[in-house]
Amino acid sequence: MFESSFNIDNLGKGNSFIHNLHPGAKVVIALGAILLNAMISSPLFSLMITIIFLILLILARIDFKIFFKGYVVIIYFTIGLIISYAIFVGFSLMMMFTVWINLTSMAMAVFFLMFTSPILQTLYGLEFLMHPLNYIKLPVNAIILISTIALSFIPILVSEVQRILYAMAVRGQDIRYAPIKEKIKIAVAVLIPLLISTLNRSETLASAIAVKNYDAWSPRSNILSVKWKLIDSIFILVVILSLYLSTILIK
Amino acid sequence: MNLTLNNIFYKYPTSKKMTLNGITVDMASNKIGLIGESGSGKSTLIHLLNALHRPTHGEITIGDNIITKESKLKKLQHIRKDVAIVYQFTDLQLFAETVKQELLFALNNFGIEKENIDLEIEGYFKAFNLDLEYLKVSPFSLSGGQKKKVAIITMLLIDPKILILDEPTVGLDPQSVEDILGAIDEMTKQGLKVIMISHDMNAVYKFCDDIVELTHGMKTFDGSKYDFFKHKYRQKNILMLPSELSYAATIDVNNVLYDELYNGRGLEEFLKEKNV
Repeated sequence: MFESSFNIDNLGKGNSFIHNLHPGAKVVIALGAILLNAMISSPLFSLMITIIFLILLILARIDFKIFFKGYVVIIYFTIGLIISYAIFVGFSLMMMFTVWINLTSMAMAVFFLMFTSPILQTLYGLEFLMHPLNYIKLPVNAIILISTIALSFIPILVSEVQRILYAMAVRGQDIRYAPIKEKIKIAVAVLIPLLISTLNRSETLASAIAVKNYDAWSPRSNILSVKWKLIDSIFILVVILSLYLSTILIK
Repeated sequence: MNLTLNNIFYKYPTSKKMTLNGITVDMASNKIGLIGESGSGKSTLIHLLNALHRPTHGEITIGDNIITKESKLKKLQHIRKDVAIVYQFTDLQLFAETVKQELLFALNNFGIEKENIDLEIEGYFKAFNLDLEYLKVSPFSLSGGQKKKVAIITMLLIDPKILILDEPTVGLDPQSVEDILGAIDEMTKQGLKVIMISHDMNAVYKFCDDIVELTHGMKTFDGSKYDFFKHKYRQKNILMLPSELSYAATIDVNNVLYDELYNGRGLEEFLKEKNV
């Protein structure tokens, strides 16, 4: 009843050629598109980005049912932003389109990363790209490790929230049937044990990492052995070329 | 209170396969052990008993209440007053500022008013070997065993007819285990029905009268503790035997010692008598 259909562990798994690309290449494309979109700030360019990522997602043969579930959230954001613009700036169809396509294009870049590489691989890709920052003494590995741990906590937190909600329900406080005022009370009662268990878990985790002799500056092997191949470079070139052609088309 | 399950099937909305497959059992005894490996459907079953889920097929009878696929769960919430669950992870069940507030939480939710609540709490604290001073402290400052005792007392205060204990002995010191099982045992004599989920065969052997075993969502045993352990003893399945039977099972080739041991005669005494 309190179970969530969303499973973070299954996200990004697949066997298309896009799934098999180097995660670093996918991070370059997604982040590059988001940056260019912000810099160029043209609805037509955003539309081209959306189309390019849609083609990539189709080529990756992702499950569009899950995609649309995620896209519903973007629709809510879009509606919220359009309402705020309409109140404070004024309403026009062009504004509606601009807001929608800007948000959608950026969401498509994120969806592309989410649906074509598991989160740990994406982080590996980021680490790969951020590697040169080690030379200016930025602890890249530690940053990635913290991000990995934070992301790994999400399913644990989800399952703990479920457990707490069950424990509340058996004690006569079922969030599903409670009135709004009670729902808020239950939410507070959920947060306290959640916070305490998270703090306890973090403490244990910190000790566990320390006893495993973790050192951000020591040379480390990696569980993922993804090598940069020619196809990764070609993929980046093709996408950049498509984006360049888009800018020419806009002009 | 009678508790029967008739051909219960259950499938989670997010799952493709059945978690429970045709469970039929009459839980007549007051001390029942619900055992089975992880993922066998024990937790799902107790959620069905608490009307947290509706069975996909079949019916559950709890006293005068019947839970079926068509039942409106919102209308069955009162069942939770009769069927109490104490979960394994007590840390996730406690949230109040003081132990006293924690104890009254469920009571207030069910709208139960008791005149002698302080006396009742005192009685339970005595039964569970807890110091009354703990009533004023934060539940998070208690030890694992004390938290478990508080979580059980919280549910006992609502006067349930059936108490479900999910792994009540995990991570506890032997004294706490003794306190909890001893106090609960006394309450079963006054009519409380206890269903204990446990992987601890020593606790099951010591506490339960009847055992229901689940494997991959199917019932693989339903009967007396005597029959259950006799079967495991003959199979030489020492992982499923309490410590006092497991050693004997390995040396008792002809399975002649089971009855002697079950009836309380120590292995050592028996071997001495036989000059072994």
